[in-house]
Amino acid sequence: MPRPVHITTPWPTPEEEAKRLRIPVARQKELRAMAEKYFKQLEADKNGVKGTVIRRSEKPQHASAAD
Amino acid sequence: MPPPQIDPKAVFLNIPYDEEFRSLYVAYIVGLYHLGLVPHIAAEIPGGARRLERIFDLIQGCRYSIHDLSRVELSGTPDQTPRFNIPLELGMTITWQRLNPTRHNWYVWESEPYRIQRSTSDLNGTDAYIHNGTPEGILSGLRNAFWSDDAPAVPKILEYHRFVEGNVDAILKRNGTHNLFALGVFKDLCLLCSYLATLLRYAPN
Repeated sequence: MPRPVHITTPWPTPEEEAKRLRIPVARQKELRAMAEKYFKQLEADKNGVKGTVIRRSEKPQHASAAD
Repeated sequence: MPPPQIDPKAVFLNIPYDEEFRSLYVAYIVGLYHLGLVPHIAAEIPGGARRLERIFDLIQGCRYSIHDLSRVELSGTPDQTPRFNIPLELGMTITWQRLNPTRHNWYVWESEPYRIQRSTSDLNGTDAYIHNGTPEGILSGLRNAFWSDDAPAVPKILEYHRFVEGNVDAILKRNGTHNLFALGVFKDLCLLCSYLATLLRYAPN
């Protein structure tokens, strides 16, 4: 197996990606809200709060955020 | 004409465009963003110009490429057509890299060990990353191919993969399509993964 390439370039920021991908601001907000909601759930789960983390077999609870 | 400027974070994904590949497609996108890289697919190529030339432009603009040869079987359609696009684009990439060794690195992915030696024997001596048809295999392979100081562990990225995959249907609906590889769907997946990767990267441990 070849040696792994060490990635040292700066990480792409969501702002850079949104601009590159030409995603409308309203859609950027929706996607960001989806990500942040999920992230908060993960944090809550990690801190022992009964969470609602989506499992593969479950219907996504964030579906409405993308509609 | 000078070749396009290389984006050092860009990875060209040469993958099967079929619905059965959904989970692995999402895994490539999620995994690359969590390594600080940016995926590109042929759907980004605007219409008008000759498609093959635009694909070659895209390959030239990417620092890396991933060629997934896991769907070498005949198509499920009645005419049983073999798929040649992925090997064709791999061949173009190999030629480009041979002529410009410092500008590009390419990697081959397969689902089954040793099959590449039968399907594409000219690649003997090339180590393929074997993903066993699983997202975990994709993510593990990505972490072995690309090393980033800030890369999270595979189980953590898998959690994010489950979330993104769970939202694919909603993203398809939002884009008014059933085509997983439509440009709007790809863009939504990219930005969602970018947000998730950034949130995780800057989260307190």
